[in-house]
Amino acid sequence: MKAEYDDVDAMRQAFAALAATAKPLDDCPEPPRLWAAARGEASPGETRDLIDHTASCPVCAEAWRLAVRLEDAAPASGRQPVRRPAVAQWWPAAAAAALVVAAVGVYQLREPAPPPVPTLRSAAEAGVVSDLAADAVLPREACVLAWHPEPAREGLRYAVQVTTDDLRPVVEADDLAAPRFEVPAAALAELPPGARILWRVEAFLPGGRRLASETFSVRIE
Amino acid sequence: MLRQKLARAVGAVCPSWLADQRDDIVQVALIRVMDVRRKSEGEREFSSSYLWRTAYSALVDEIRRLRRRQEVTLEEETSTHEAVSPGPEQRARGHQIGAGIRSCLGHLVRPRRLAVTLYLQGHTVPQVARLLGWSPKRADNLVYRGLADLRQCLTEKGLSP
Repeated sequence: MKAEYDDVDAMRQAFAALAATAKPLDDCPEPPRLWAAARGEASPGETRDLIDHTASCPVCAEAWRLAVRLEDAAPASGRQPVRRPAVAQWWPAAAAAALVVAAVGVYQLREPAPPPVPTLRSAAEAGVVSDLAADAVLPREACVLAWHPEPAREGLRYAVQVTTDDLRPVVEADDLAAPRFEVPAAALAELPPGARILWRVEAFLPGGRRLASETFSVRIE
Repeated sequence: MLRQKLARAVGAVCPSWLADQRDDIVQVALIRVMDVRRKSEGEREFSSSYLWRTAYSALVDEIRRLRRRQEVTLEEETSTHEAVSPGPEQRARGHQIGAGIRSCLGHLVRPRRLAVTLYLQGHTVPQVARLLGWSPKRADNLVYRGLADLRQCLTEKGLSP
């Protein structure tokens, strides 16, 4: 490790002590989900979502610590962590939503309207809008994803997640200052021509709020 | 036998401030297991892992219930955790820092927030890497940068752990 960690014990204690005066939130996950994630039995995507929750919910953070302690105390026969493929939790939901979008798309073939950007998450959550047309075809050597916050805001930082159409992770990037990201050609090397990739942006506002985009798609030339 | 296993699991991690409820928690866990067995018409066998998970769920449900009703005060909890309880001033300061940490975590870029949250939960960098499906190098980097961000944020709030 390369940092000064003298203050970490104090921070850990202060973080843990929050539980004593906290109340559960409305959206606390069921205990078996925390149990599985803390033991390394959940997918990284599910694990990330639950860790995000524990960052803001001291009661679930306490439950997470208990799960870890219980794992340490559990009999060996009960400790068989299984690592599932690295598929983020939101992708299966996004894929299901994509089917709905596809159905809507078929319906819209009858209407002379411009194709909408695919909506793989609830539009109500959108705060980041793609600058690319739905299923735009991008060159493999210059696969630049671009977006903008809506309404326009300054000083945002962004994180991007990209997967294949069948939900395999392609690349992730974080701490981006500009609302664009070029997917490295190497990350696309194994994808066939015409392959569809899904991408999603998370925007971080200066005041601490976060906005998750819908899930967008483009095709690789 | 089932009850013994459940009691062992609950006893292994039940916080001391919940000691009075320990038997009740074991009973709740046992009822849940028996309910599953009844629905399977007695066919169901239970692995140790399943029993421990059931005990854990019962324990967490009870903690949430008590926390929701705020039946446990901070004084009660700290007095059973520590031989020498911190004074009111120390507790208030600790709470301020904890609240500051929680607020600052919300400001971090997600990968750093994930890494630091796990680190604050007591995980090592290799464990952070394993849980999040990252390389150890990436986990190390994100913990390092995330802690730097966290310290800066706390400083801006006038807090110093």
